[in-house]
Amino acid sequence: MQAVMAILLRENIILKRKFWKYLASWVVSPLLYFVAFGWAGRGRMVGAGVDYAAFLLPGLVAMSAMTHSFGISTEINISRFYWKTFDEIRTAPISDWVYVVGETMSGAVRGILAACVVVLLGLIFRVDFALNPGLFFAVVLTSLVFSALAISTAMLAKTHADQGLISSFIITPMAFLCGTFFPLGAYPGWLRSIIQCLPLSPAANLVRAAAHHQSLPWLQALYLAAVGGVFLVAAMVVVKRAKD
Amino acid sequence: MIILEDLVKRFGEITAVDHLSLHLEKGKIHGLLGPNGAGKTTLVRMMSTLTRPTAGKAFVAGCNVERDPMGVKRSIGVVHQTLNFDPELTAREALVVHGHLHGMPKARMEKRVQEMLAFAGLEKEANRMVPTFSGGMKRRLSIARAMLHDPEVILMDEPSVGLDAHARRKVWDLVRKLREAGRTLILTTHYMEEAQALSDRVIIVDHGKVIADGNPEGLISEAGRVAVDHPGHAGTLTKFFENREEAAQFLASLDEPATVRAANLEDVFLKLTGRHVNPKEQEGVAANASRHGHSAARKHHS
Repeated sequence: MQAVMAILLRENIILKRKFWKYLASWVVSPLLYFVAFGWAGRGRMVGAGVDYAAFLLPGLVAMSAMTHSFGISTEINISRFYWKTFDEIRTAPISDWVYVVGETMSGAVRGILAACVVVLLGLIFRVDFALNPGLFFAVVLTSLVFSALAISTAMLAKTHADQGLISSFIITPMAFLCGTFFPLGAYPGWLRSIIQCLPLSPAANLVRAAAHHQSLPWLQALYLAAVGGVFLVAAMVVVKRAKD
Repeated sequence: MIILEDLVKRFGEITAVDHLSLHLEKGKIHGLLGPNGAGKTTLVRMMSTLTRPTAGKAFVAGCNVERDPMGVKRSIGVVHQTLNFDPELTAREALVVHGHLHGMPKARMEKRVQEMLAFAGLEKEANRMVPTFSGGMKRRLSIARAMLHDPEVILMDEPSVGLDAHARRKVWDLVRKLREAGRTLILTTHYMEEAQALSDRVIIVDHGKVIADGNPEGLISEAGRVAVDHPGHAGTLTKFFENREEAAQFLASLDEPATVRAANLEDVFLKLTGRHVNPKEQEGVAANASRHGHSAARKHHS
């Protein structure tokens, strides 16, 4: 437990030192999306009488949680290839699980904070949504899942450029396809089936359900948690491999 | 303290460590000397569990590096060749994170952090960000970090590489203090003067094999205590003698000017391999490398 705290402590000192930079990055993208898409869709109704801004906000919350928790992969990558601090972790008497759990939690903290910033933006723009424990649960679960995925990809990447490519192929498509900006109903059935399997889809559904006072889709929550479990195991395997 | 048995490490078709066996003793400084690419870093990485051996066995403080890596990690402190510090941390924070990673109780850790900052002469810099440190200060902090959890064995990979003479002396002082504290040190270097100044025992490695092993004085005596550098057909040749009288006799037989000097570990390596340890010194020497063996052989006849 102390070693997990050590990894968290390290990441949180970094977070504290670069807080204003991080805050700016947490604000800019959702604000742009909110202005660009929210403004364009102002007054339009989506689905069962939901205002577009109210539809968009949970999508942005889920997307921010995903993007910024996944951002830990860049930090890990830089620490491995540039600062070489990963060797310091590897010569410490800690198990691979401890490292994976520590980094997953660190990434999740960033995802949760970024999601909180989007919620604040929603409050500022007077979007109609609910703040409740369900929303918090959905954000925490989403952040943990994508943070675990980040560790796997960071260990698989051989260079910084690889990391950028991985983000382009995994994160960007999910950000636009998984019901973040528009309902999935417009897609053909076969594509919708594929998209619904991607982890951001259940994450967005969870956040949206909580934000719209609906009961949480627990099956989707279970599915998301299971995917997170797979990512954790994968992270464990690739961390072990990265040792040699 | 450290036992390496028939250790092999291959990277594809390249053999970095080639059936190497060693017994390293407790409380001594062991200098692993060799040129770049000799296999020194790979050896240290295997001892520190960072690289898995292809074949053979390695035991550090009684723990098998493959079967009990946690035991090894608890017994070692590693000074990595790269100055690997998080750029967002102060010196104190870097040590505190290391202490947590090694499971040190808080009170003991705080005491040790203070002690190690003092040991490295960095007390006043404790709250400065590490990137503002000079190379020498970072290296001293790196040694302090390796010592923080009080390990039995310290592995140092090229601890003074890239440092100026003054910073290097300070690092050497720290290394000597570690010996006085009874630590077992393994220090890789391609600086022969470093190996000579610090090591109780020098192990010369080339192409992944041990080519000489002994105390610095003994190795130099075997090569010949006095070296004479004189011009040859393809550059400078070096000839070794037991004493100055023999060297003087040889000098008298030369028509060209020559230099007489005390032999050193660089000469030992040169004599054994026909090459210099330090690549910078190889310029102009490679050509006469093959002649050197002949020159050295003549010494035995003289």
